[in-house]
Amino acid sequence: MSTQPAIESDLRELAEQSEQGMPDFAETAARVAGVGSPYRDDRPGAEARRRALYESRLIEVALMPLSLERVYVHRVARAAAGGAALLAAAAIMVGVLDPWTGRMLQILSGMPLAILAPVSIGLSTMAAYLFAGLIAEHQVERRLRDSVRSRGELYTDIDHLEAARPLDKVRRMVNAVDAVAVALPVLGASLGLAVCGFLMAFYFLPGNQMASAAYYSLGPVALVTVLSIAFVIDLARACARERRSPSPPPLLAVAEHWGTLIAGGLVGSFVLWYGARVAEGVRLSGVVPGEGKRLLLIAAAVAAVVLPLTWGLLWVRRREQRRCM
Amino acid sequence: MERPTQRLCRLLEPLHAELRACARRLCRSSADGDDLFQEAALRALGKIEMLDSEEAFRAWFYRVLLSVHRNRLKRSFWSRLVPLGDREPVVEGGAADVAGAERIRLALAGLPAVQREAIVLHDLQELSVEEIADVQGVSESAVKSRLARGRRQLRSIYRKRFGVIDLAAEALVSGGTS
Repeated sequence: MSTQPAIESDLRELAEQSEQGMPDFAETAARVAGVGSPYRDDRPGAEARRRALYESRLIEVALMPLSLERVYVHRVARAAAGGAALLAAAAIMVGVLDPWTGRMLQILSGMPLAILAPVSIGLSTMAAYLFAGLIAEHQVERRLRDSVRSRGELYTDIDHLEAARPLDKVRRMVNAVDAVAVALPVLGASLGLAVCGFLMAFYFLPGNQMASAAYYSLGPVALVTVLSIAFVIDLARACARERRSPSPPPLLAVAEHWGTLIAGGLVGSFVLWYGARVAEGVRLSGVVPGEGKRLLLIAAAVAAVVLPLTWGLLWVRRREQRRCM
Repeated sequence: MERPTQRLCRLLEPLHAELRACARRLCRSSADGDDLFQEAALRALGKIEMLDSEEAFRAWFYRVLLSVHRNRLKRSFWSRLVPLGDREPVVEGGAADVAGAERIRLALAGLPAVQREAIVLHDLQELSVEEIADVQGVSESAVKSRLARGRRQLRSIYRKRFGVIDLAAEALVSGGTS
C-alpha cells in the first residue's frame, strides 16, 4: 500500500488533535497584558527532565564495567605502596645520616638499621597497598553515589545530573592516577633498593669502618637517587603525554620493549657477580672499592631492579588500558 | 489612544484558534506549541508598533510565529528537554505502535524547518502558495519546490520508520477500542 494515503490520514488526525483542548483567548490576553507569568509552568517539564536524567544515570552506574573500579583501586594501591616505600627509605636514610635518629630507630624497633631497612620498607609497602586499596574502593563508591544523589532542589539536580556522568567520572579518576601508579612504585623501589643495598654492603664491617665507608659512598647514592628521580619524572610525563598523542612517546616505546626486560636480567646478573666480588673484598681485606666502582655497582643494582619493574608496570598498565576501553 | 496590548488583543482574538493551532502543528507536542504561541504573542507585542496596515496582521503574525519557531530550533536548550507527555515512542514494532498524529509529528520533526513550515501552512492551515511565499519571504516557485521536496522526504521517512501502514486495519482497531 502507498504511504501517501497514510500521510494524508495522519495529517487530518493531527489537524483535529491540535484543535482540541484549546485554551480561551482570555488566558492569552491576560498573559500578554502581564497578568500572571507569561510562560507555561515549566516545573512539570523540569521534573520530567530530572526523572529522565536520573534514570539514565542510574542505568549508567548499574551497567558500568566493574573492571574500571578495579583498575582504579589497583592503581591507587600501587601508587600508595610506592610512596610508602619511598617514605620508609627516606626515614632510614635520615637514620643513617643522623646518629641520634639512627639510635632511636634501633631502640624502638629492636633491630639494627641494616635489618630494619628491608623489614620496614616491605611492611610499609604491603600495609599501604592494602589500606590504599580499601580507601580507593570507598572513594569510587562515594563518587558514584554522589553522581546520582538528589540535592533537593529541582534545577540544581538537573544541572548536577547533566554534568555528572558516572562513567566519565570514573574514567577521569583512573586517568588521574595513571602516571603516579607507574612513577611512585619505580621511585620507591629504586630508592628502597639503594638504601637497603647501601646498608647491607657495610653491615659486616666494624663500627668505625662502616661509618667511614658509608660516608664515602653517600656521593654515588645521591647521584643514583637524582638519576632515578629524573627518570621517573620523565616516565610519568611520557605516560601523561601518551593520552594526548596518537603514538606512544619514545621513552615508553623503549621501556615497554622486550629488550628492556632482557637488559634488566643481564644487568642483574652482572650486579650479583660484581657485588659478590666487592663484598668478599670488603669482608676479607677491609678495602672499600674506589668511588667509580661503587657508583657503577649502585647504578647497576638500581637499574637491575628499575628496568624489569618499569617493564612490568607498563605491561600491567597496557592491560588495564585495554580493560578500560 | 489604544494601548499596544489592547491593539494586539483586538487583532489577535479572531485569529487566535487558527494561529494557536498552527503553532501546535509546528511543534513536537501541543504543550510546546502553546509555548511557541505565547512567545510569539509576546514578541508581536514588542513589535506591534511596526505594523502599518491592520489588514496585513494575519501574515505579519505568521511571520513572527515562524521566526520564533526557527529561533527555538536553533537553541540547543530545547532539544535537550524531554517533550511533555510525548516522549519519542518506540517504533521497532512497526506503525501499529504509534498513533497517526504522533506518527506525522515525528515525521515532520525530521524535515528541515522551511519544508515543515511549508507543509503545515499549505496542507493544514490551508494557506495558498502566494500567502506562504509572503509569510516565508521567498518566491512562489521556492515555496512549490519546498512543498515538493518536503512531501517526498515525508514519504521517505514514513517508509523508513513506519514501513507499510494498513489504514483499514487501524480504523478497525480504533473503531473497536472506541
